Amino acid sequence: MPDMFETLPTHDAASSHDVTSTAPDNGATLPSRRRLLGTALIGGVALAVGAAGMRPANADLIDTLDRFLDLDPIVINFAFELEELQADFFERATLSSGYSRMSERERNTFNLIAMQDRQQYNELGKLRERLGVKGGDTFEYPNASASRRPSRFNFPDVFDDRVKLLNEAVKIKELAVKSYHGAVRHIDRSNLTLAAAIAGTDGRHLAVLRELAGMDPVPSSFEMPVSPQITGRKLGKYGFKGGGLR
Amino acid sequence: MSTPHEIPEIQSEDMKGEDSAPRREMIRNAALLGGALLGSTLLTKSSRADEMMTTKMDDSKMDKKMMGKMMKGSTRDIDILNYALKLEYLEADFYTRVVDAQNARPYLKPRVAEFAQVLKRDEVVHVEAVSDMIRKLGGTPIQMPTFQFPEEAFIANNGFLRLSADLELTGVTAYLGQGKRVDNDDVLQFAASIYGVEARHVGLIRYLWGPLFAPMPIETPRTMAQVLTKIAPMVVSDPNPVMMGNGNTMGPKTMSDSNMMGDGMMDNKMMMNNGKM
Repeated sequence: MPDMFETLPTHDAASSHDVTSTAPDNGATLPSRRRLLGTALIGGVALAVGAAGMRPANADLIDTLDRFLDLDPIVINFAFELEELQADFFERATLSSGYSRMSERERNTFNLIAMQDRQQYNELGKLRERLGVKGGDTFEYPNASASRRPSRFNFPDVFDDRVKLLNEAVKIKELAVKSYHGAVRHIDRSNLTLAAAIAGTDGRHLAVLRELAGMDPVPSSFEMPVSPQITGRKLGKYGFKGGGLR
Repeated sequence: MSTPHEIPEIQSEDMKGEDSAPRREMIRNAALLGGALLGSTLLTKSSRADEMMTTKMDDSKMDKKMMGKMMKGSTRDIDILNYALKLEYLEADFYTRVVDAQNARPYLKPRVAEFAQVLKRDEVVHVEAVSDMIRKLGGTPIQMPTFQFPEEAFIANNGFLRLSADLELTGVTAYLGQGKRVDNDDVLQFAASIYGVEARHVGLIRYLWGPLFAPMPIETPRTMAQVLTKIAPMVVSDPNPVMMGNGNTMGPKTMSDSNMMGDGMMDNKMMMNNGKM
């Protein structure tokens, strides 16, 4: 039952996974056997799939493996790379000629989203560190500005055109929001709050971007999830790898 | 437009074209909803409640597997959904009154008036959907309380936007605060689908209002107790057992009870500060 004086941190601190093992030392601080096995298996399978040249390896695995394994490391890495992609896109957008043709309000919107996507990326990075999540590529040029670092992602040729830029921004943000909602069932409850908190703000971003693009900002009364398998494939055209072990 | 009775299924097909409906289509759909109110005077509480409860969206795509199928639901999930239902009642009642007021004497800017219709559409649908989910879990949906709102919201454009933003943010923080407590994955997915739309609502409302549409990079969760305390001044009477936020309940609550408990009335500024907008 909820505690009346329960306080909620902005995001969940690392907590030991619910122990479902039958180890005699019930309540020990070690991660559950399920989680250890899961992490090892995911690592092994992903390496094999990656070696076979299949992409995006981890998005395809998520749906299948979640039935019996702890997928938080993969899901968190997926989200981490997703935020990196968004941050990269919006940061580059703010340096483009398409951006310079935008209204002040449009430019302010892109500036805000670029900043917040980078902040979300940083928050997920902290979560990864706290949980000891490995794998996925870290940002290769952390101290270089967007204008000087090479892009890890393959964005289409939209940056010179205001309308194309807006539309692409909507597409990317839409994929991001639906990815988060598609991953809801796959995230351990202890890590859910941060992911959901990010998804909420991304939802705000999306509504405003759609408004700016002349689209219905809230076309449905319910946010529709899309499976990581689908979003992973759609994001693959940008060079998105699925956020995992390569 | 999705149906109210369906837990959003994970899409397995291409989502191209899903969300490309132009604004005029949205307006037309909203107008169909609001058409029943054109020319009407402010509805009485009972008729407003009836109107809210009987407004239905097209359910031709209803998930047949879910309808009529009792799901395994925990007591906690039912309690959480009834808590959510209270908030959805609050929002739906508010927007129904706003649309009524706008129809009686226009006071909202055009784009704001358009979006108020969308907000009403969504919140009314949410009331139905949450109620349905509670029944599917074997629970009983709470009855609609009686609410009151600052008059400013029904006569001034910014008054409406300010309260609307506050209410939507309250919904966002409430859902976020409960997510990790939900036991059933279907219930969680369902609640998340509503949460996502509430977040879009906040973003667009604040954008139309003028202030920063997203002050923080991540949303802030609130506990049940925090949220119930926040909305207490808007609850005139509640026929349901009071949710204390700790699983304990007491008898039906009236405004006089609120005063005795020292809840008092909160003006919009206080609500905004508490909501950390």
